[in-house]
Amino acid sequence: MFQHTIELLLQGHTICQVSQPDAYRYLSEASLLEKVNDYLRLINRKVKIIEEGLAFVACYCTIEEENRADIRLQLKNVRDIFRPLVNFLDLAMTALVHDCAMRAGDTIRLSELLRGIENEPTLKQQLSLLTNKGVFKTTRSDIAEQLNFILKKLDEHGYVQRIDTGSTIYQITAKMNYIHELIDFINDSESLKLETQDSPIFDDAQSEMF
Amino acid sequence: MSTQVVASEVEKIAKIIRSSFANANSTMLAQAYFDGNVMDNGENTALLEMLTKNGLIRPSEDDGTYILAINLKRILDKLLLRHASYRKRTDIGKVMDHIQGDIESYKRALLVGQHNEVNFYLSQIDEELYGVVYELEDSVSGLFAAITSRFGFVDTLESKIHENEKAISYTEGLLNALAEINLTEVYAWLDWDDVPAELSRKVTFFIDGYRRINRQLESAVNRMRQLLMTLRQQSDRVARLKAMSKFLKDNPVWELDEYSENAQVPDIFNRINGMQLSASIDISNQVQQETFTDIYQSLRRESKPDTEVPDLRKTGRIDDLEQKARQLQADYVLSQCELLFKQVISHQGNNYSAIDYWQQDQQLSDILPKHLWLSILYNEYNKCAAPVRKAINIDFDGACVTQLPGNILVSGNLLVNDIQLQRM
Repeated sequence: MFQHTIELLLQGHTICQVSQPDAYRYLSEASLLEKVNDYLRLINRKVKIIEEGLAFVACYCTIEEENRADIRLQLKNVRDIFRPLVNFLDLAMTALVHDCAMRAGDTIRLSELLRGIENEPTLKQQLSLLTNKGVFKTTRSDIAEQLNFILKKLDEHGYVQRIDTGSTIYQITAKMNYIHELIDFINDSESLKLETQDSPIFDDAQSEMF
Repeated sequence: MSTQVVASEVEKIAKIIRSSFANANSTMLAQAYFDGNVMDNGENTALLEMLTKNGLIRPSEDDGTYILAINLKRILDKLLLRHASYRKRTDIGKVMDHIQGDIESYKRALLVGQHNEVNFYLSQIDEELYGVVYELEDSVSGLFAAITSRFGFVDTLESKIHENEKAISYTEGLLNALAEINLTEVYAWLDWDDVPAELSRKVTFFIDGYRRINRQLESAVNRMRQLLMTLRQQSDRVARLKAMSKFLKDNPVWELDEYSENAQVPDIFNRINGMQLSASIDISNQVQQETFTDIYQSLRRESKPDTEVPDLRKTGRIDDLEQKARQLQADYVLSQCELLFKQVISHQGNNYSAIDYWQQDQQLSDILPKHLWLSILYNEYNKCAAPVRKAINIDFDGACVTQLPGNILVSGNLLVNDIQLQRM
């Protein structure tokens, strides 16, 4: 398991309960995580723990000139998928009448997405725009095929994982949380002031209890 | 109904309960309740079939998923909604006054020897004390179940937030109610001579229960704090995602900055891109060499049936023709290996270059690039009988160990330009 886990990390996988359950369990053991870290440190890498143990990824101990090209490539991949993925998540949440952020472990069903989009001209148009360029670009015009294509692409990029071969049900991996982290980062670093939702639960009187 | 029939029915029901609510099944049923469904992942197929047979779950409209049978869902809803009936006895102050009064009446009856009254007041005290502890514990555990399930009985974030709000409000009420219990006053109930042991036991039970409830409530508050954080994060994330999506639509040319060029790369981008990992074969290692030869030969054996398949006149399929053509090409390459070995063995002392041979044979160079030719030739050499290998001296022209594993040729990390063959 040690070798398998090291290989997954070096291949750039985000290891979570959904994507790699065995390696995830392995890294969740503090002593084994330390063993992996001892090995990775020899090559200037270490395990980064995401959201208090929700997932594990490999990162550099120190960023130097020789690994900057790798960071650049990683950033390019993120840049390529960021816009279409954010728009897709927004579209999916609207189609599914879902007011919860899609998080690791949640499921996306092609049939439910299809039901939510096919009778809504605005959503159909958004889907069409989404599949018109970028990573989700496809010549397919059928809605089901377009959605299937997008989900397959997300699977290839590690943001979702198909439940079973041939299935149209996908489970969201912890890599999706990275997109939310990125939104927070962009919001802060570029002072976009993206509004946050107000909720009665967060009023001062209730929060005082804690 | 006869006793035997009843016994058989009871046993039948007991069997269903035993098989349906075994440990693994109950976890699966709980998952189906909270997630809305449970998926057939191949490993749980038998369990799902059994639960379906027992009528506890049924296949959903989506392939491979199962949902709870409506009756079971209703029962669980009802059980989890216990928190809805929180407010049973939160007017603890009045109850405590009643108990105080009953204890005084009990004491008086005991002093004058009115046994019936003594028993009556003792049972009253017992009922009140037990009632307070039971109802407080019941409502705290209901509250706990609601929090633990993250208010799984409602689906939307809005409803979850509303339920959390109600739970917080109730907890506040419960804390106020518990504050009305003054343990010093409770201990004072026993502050008289010759207190009967039965009264002492009941009051001690009440004090223990009160302390237990306090601990549970403290734990519930901690959990609610965590849940509040999660819901707050969820709520913020949804709002920010939607706002980001709108921002991107309003700014079609906006792109993420080139943060990788910053002197200090932000931590969020410090992730490795992923390496291509590949292993190589060390041709100087006899064990690896033999393993590789075995793999190569087994692959050749696997491809053999293909040569026997096509009766082209019967099938007439174009892919069969292509298959045949590929096989013929493969056969041609192997036959050229054999021819070269034959030439080497036939002409002692002559030095033969594999690359020269490949360049001179137009068909061979059309079929495959030179590095593949060298690789196949080398592997064919290894497959030759030991006496043949002994007779042919093999040398790698321009060989050097490359730092890029699997870069070229024969295998391993040996980079060669040519193979020289000569009969010893």
